[in-house]
Amino acid sequence: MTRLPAISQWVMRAAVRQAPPARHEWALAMQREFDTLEDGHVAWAVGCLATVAGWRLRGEALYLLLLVSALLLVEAVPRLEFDLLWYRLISRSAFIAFERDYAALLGILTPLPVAFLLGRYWPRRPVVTILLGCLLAQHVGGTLLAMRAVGGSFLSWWAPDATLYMLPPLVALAASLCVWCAGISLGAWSRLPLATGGGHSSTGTGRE
Amino acid sequence: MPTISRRLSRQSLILLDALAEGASRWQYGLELARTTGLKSGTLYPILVRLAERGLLESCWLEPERPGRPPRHAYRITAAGRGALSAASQRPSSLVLKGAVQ
Repeated sequence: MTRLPAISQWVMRAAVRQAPPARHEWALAMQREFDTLEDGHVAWAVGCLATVAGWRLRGEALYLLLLVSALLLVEAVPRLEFDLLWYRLISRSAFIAFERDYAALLGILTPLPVAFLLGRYWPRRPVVTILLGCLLAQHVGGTLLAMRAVGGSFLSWWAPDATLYMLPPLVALAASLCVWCAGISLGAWSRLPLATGGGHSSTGTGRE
Repeated sequence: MPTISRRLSRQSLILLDALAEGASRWQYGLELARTTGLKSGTLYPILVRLAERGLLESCWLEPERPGRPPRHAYRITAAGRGALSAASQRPSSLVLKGAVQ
């Protein structure tokens, strides 16, 4: 027995499992046909998974739209200081001081409120949120790598002239991942009822 | 309330045509896939859409062989026949017959 049937069965089971409740009967219909197939299991199963993915995508369009919008917003926040400088709303010395001490930290921590809100209102999608959210981490890492290292005292406990910009990009990636996980966890926890005797947690309304 | 006001795609018409060929007989998804040449990833979204528009009906049929689970089967409705004949009268749908052959 080759591994192909096992793979196709796994794909088919995943398709049924991931189907939105409103389409569950159709997913079962696809699976029953799959069960009667003698050959071509993989192609059939992959087609079913693609169908279910399409249903899910349509059902979660609002979530994805909000997530992408939030990511764009998060991307924009660290650039605000440049706009403030450009329009002469802050002085050059204030800009340099901010860049030296807080800019990198702000860049890493900015996703926290977004992750919190997504974790609170869409608690069933932590994996997708974290994965998509961490795309931002690449931006953070790239920014840290590209920007010139400026002197500062933020990490003086580590080395006299150490700055956040001296850390390898992997650290920024890990930090961003932690921020997203923490935000989503905090958001999910905030949904739990405060009273311990109050029974079960809420069921969530995220799925179609 | 099902609606048939939207134009049907070429693949939807091919599927409806295959269902109409089977007259009032219930047909399974696999059978339709073989008849029309549509893959599962194309076939089922169309089946769902046609069912929601009332152009086909579906039901769970007990299998011929005992011990097997029921299978979902499909049959064209009167509205489906109407939509098919209306589409075949449009010039752009004249190629449909050739595509199904």
